[in-house]
Amino acid sequence: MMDIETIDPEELRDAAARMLGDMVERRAPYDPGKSADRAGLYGAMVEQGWLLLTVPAEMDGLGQSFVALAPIYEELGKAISPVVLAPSLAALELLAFNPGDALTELAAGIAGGEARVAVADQGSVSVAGGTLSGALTGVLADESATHLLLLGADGQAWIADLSAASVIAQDSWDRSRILHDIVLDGVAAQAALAAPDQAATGRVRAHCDLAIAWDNAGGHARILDETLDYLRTRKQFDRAIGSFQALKHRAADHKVDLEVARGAARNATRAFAAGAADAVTVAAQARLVTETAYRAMAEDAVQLHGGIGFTWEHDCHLFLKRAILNELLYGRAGERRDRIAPAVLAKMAQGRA
Amino acid sequence: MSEEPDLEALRREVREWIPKNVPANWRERQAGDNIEGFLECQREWLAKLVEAGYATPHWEHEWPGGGRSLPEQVVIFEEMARGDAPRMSLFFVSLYHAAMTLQECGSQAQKEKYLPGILRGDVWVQGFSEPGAGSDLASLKTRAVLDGDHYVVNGQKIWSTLGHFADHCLLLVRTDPDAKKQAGITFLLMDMKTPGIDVRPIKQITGDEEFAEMFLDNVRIPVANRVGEENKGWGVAQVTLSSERGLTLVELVERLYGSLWRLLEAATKGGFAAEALDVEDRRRIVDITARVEALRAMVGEAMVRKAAGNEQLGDASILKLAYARILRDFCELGMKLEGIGSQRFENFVLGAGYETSNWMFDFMNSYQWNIAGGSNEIQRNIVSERMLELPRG
Ligand SMILES: Cc1cc2nc3c(=O)[nH]c(=O)nc-3n(C[C@H](O)[C@H](O)[C@H](O)COP(=O)(O)OP(=O)(O)OC[C@H]3O[C@@H](n4cnc5c(N)ncnc54)[C@H](O)[C@@H]3O)c2cc1C
Repeated sequence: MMDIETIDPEELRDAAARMLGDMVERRAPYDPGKSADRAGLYGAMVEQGWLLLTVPAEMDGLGQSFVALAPIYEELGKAISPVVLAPSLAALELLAFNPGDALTELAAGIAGGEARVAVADQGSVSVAGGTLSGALTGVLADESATHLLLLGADGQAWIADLSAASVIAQDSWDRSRILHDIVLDGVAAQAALAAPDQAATGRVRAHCDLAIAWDNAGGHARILDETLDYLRTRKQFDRAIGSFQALKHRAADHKVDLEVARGAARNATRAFAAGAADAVTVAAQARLVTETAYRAMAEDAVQLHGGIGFTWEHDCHLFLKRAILNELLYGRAGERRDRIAPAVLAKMAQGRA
Repeated sequence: MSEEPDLEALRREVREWIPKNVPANWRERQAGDNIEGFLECQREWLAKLVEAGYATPHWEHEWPGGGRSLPEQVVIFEEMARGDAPRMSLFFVSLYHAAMTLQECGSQAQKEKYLPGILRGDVWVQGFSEPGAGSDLASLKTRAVLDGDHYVVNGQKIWSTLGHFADHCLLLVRTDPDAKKQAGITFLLMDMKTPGIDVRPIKQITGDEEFAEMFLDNVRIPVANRVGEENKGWGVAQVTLSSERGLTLVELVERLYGSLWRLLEAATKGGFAAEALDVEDRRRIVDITARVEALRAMVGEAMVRKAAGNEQLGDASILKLAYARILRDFCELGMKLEGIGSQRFENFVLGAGYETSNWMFDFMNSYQWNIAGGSNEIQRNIVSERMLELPRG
């Protein structure tokens, strides 16, 4: 049992790395005749207490901040975990605002491992008389998602039972993730908040951004390591290809970008955990920095591996596909930049004083 | 971020001190076409800093202002940057490279002879690079031959920052031409008034004459001015090169962070009407601010590691590479945002750092971070070979 006050994030990391190392066979979703054991993995996560980490102590949770989740999200990225935790954990952020009964109930379900959430922006879905109607596409969730948390443009969030909707899993390029088409035809929904609050929905989005930022940082670190191994061992012209300066300098640049990306993610994690006024902006920025770096690394990994890197057999593409998907989740990069631009510009203008 | 109470107290103290002591109109006085004004203003600033003890926090504690911890030094630099104080450009080599070399490797007599002068405003220059020895510094050829109690020195140094204003020089010479490169080098202190020294300023790509070349023709330097033993100068030079302990980047990154508003100024022609911004410009601004925030966090964390003695091999190279790239991208963006206006030549300010809103000047000036003090390529060699353990070529 974990102690409420003193959970060392690095211990969580070690435990996560061990557990994921034992349970995740990252090729499983890609290899014929195999598939990821998502239910088993999720069960193990529940057993490890990950779903309780950020549940408030009053609700029998462990009362930790995002600082405890960061190493877990990073390890999930390293492992290319086929289970996605962030949407469920992001939903818990709403508890800190003015939650309605539906949310409290959902949170208890999340903490217990029975409820699993998909998060989506309202988009063209209409809300009328406590029901949702419309279509969503490319929604990230595992096959056993039970609830939809729809983030309304007005700052309200709606909880709907997915069993009442049409949910169709798509084949995704990144087979470690499942995207869904969801059609809502007058599906009953309950307000998550006692009153709309942009700060509350912003925090859910920021949680997702930050989880993706750590997923990016983790994947980046892992594929850099694996590429370095290859550069050290693969020989051409009677020497290790990693001794060619043109290649080692690219590796150095990816390492620099990784460190800047981690700096961004740690900075945002601190701000988010402290509830800083600009936490939402900084989280979005961290995601932008990490995703650009991860994508560049994953692309170059393919190139640096040569022919083998272009094969289905080899694992480079697992990282590249994950990096690309991460960039496109919850809004395109340009839109995400536009969303935080006013806050960024306001802060800059202040700096002049 | 919350910090130790005494650090916070120091921060407040420095923050209050700066506006009362920064030389008035320093930007006008340090204009690029007014070298006298620059020198005078820098001397005035040094005197104030020395008096307050803010010039020498990194010195040994028996010296005025000395004995401050690394976190305290960081606070002072952060506040100087935040308070938009002029950089100590004229005295940086004296206060850091010369002083730390003397304190760590100099004799008692050398310390007593030179350190008080540094506090009074002696300017030092670092005479390491030569036309044939840059990245491969150890291949330097300037020759010193013992003649009684003097070394007689012949050769040429180049890229010596502020060499034309210097009173003294940290000089690397070859004393044993037959030994392995690093093993034949000696470290000398050279009085710039010694006969036989010819200093010629070199104009940089900005038009500023910030560095110089130095021709040495039978220059006689007393053996008493040798730091460390003969042929052991390479080790001393390593002390010189690591003397600023990353503080330069603390200061520069803080200045960069505090200058982000200049992009908005450039993009809005000084009107600061953010609504009028082009969408793509806005996105670029968001990206660069995100990278600057990240860089600032990294530098802060690196200094915490350093203070705790946990510095990692390659940390300094990673920070320098990251800063060099982000600074260049920042300057380039400012230049592009300002547009054709940036291409009209305007007089620049000396010692103001790398963000002056004179965007073409800043952009050109930013290149030096990619070259000086170990070029990007050399830093990448360090990162890839020593940190990432890739095989040597
Ligand atoms: C603004 C400025 C101020 C300076 N101030 C001083 C000073 O005060 N005192 C002083 O002593 N020196 C000073 N220098 C000199 C500086 O340290 C050198 O310029 C630097 O070390 C590079 O040496 P170099 O100019 O001879 O270039 P070179 O070493 O000839 O390099 C040329 C190019 O080759 C690349 N290269 C070299 N070796 C390798 C390698 N092994 N692998 C890959 N690429 C390589 C370099 O990266 C560079 O791109 C200053 C330089 C500048 C620009």
